[in-house]
Amino acid sequence: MFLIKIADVIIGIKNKYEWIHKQCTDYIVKNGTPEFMVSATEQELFQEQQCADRPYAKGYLESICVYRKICSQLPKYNAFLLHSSVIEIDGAAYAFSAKSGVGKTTHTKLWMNLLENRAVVINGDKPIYRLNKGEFYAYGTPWAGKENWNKNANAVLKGICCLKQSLINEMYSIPSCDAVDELYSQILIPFEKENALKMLELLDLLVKTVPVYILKCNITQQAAELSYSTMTKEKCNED
Amino acid sequence: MKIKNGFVVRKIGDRILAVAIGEVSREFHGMIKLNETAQFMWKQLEDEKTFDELLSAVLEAYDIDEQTARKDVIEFINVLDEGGILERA
Repeated sequence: MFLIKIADVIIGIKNKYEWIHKQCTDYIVKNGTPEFMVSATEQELFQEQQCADRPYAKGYLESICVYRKICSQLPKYNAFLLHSSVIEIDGAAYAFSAKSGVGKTTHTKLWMNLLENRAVVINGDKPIYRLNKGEFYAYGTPWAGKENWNKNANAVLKGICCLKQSLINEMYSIPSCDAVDELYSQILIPFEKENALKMLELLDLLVKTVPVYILKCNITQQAAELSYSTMTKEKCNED
Repeated sequence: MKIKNGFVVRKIGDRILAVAIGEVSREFHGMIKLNETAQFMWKQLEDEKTFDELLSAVLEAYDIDEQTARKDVIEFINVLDEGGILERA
């Protein structure tokens, strides 16, 4: 058993395999009272494997199963998973959301090339966002996709960019109804009713408070320049 | 016919969604977008209704001709049936 702190929530993990313990190294806390405990049964690992695309080690299966359980509880704490890559620059966080394979990693690399030492990837795949005094913050977690880009850090979320593959680069902000359509498939609706309803409330607040954009982009540096300048520019008076 | 238990309708941003919660989410993943008329029909179908009862309710609530209403009702029921959302006594 060990304790981790993600998104300022202390969670107890009862692990059977060492893998998850090592994975969580940067997020382990020695003291504190866990808000809740999570563990995965052998039966659940078996089911996890059944849904997987190829065979995985038990330790890895335990890790993904535990993370899903953690994320199902987080809405209680005004926090949730959004499948995305999130970068911090100058104290603000910018997220790129898309299903796997569209180009979150590629676009993240373009930003890192563009911004060099000024930018940090908070999490490359499965960050947590948490509402705090009316603003959403992005938090690093040890679950961070293939590249495992993650940092135990947080920053206020200033924009979400939904990526689409395209030959030419184009970016525009979208109204909240379209933002819901884009983001709904990239969140996790918990099984338990109370948490599920809370998740929907959080999504409502998210699309009302954080600007959401569509970015149709290729893989040239110009794509990153466009998304960076669009999301970081000061809001102008629109009339 | 009637909508299965376990769905909730919520306005999220400016989008009205019907979402499966709990047990029913094992069968139905994702969400259904509802426009104003669809939301009205959804509400009607939370209680047992026959096709004709639903059609009359739509005709009463909206200023449309029967042919258009009939088409809307059929389309909506088809969408619900594709998702396996309706139960029939």
